[in-house]
Amino acid sequence: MNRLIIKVGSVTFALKARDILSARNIRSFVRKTPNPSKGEGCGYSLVVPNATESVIGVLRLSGIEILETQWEK
Amino acid sequence: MIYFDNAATSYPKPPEVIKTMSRATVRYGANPGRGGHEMSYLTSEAVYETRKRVAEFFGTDAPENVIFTKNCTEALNIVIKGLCVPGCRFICSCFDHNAVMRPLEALRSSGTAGYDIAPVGKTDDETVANFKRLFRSNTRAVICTGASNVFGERLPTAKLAKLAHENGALFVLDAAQTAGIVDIDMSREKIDFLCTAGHKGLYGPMGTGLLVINSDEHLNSFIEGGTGSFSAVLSQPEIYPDRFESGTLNVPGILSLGEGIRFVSSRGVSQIYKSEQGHIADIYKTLKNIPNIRLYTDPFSSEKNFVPLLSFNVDGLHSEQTAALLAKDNIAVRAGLHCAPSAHNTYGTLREGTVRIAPSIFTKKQDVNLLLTSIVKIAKNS
Repeated sequence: MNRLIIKVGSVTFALKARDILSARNIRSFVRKTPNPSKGEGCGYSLVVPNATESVIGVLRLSGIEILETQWEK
Repeated sequence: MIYFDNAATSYPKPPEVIKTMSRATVRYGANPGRGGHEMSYLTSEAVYETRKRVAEFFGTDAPENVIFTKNCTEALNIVIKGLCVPGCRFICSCFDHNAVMRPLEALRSSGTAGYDIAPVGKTDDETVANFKRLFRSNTRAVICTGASNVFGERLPTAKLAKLAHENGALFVLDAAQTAGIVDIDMSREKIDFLCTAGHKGLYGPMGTGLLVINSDEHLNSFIEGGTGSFSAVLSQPEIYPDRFESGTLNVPGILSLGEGIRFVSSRGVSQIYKSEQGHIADIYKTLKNIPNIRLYTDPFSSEKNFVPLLSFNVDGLHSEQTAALLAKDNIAVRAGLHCAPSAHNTYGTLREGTVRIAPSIFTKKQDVNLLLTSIVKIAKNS
């Protein structure tokens, strides 16, 4: 199980990212970023419970600006 | 009341729009894009679904480029002032509303930018030629209404968009009078920015408007504030829609507007047009036989296209007098200059204004009959 946390700039982009993955049958959900970096302040993240590295590429190719990624095992 | 003032604001609203106003207040009562709790998230999701619906309705695929505003005027101000760079110029049409003219005039009087007004010609080709003559090397954008809010006359907006791009300029459509009445596909028609009201042909509530962006062109913001994103940074976010949506959104209005668009989609834009234009044709056929009535809209014209509204005057009466007499018969129309003095100047009606009749999908044949009875009576007694 590889859980991927993808920090994005806004809830709109988080929801768009969720839709993009959903269209590829990849389940994900949106949550408020619990640990935003000092320079960013508030933000939202997409959590992908069963992620592969390709998820990041799919989102970037779809125009989602990713601020940070974090893997949880 | 028999309501023929739908070009200002459509009335009544579809029942599902009314229900959504109430339901949204109860179920989506938290700030979207701010909180981490469930109601905030559900509200964010509902607003996002509305963005998707708007984007699809206008033929774009970027929900983040759908900006919710309080009306069309605000959307136009965001674009016009956002695109303005010192020394640039804009072109608008002689049919444009003060929502376009006044921001342009404000930029001109402050010495920031200039603008030219293109006359609308007798044919679409003549109109395009009139615009073409006005391009200069520093023309930033063409801003133009889809149809005159006074006379209903449509402009060749797809041709004007093409012309703008050929001359290195952007194209901004004021769709206040065409959204929901005429099919608009921003991608196909190469419209860079679309501004419209939510409360007219889209059957949403008052206090709602839209800016839909189909361009990579940078827009300056002129309202800054909290967006729930990048909060540690004091400069306004660059990302859309946050850049233009500072402060708490009108969530009940936005979700109800979404229901209005769903209603329009389910009825079909072309069916709505056909129904309303049928009423206008009936009204025209009766009024053209009354000698002391002057008609300014010809729905049967072979040279011009019109949206379903009709302007007229009764000889010897100011348009406001005619509207007041109609109001005594419980009929609501709009008279005066309709915030479009340049359009009235073009048609020679600047002094007396005109009486505007604008039906909606809810207008019935019986409403038209009562309207005509009242107008015939007023004309007979004048």
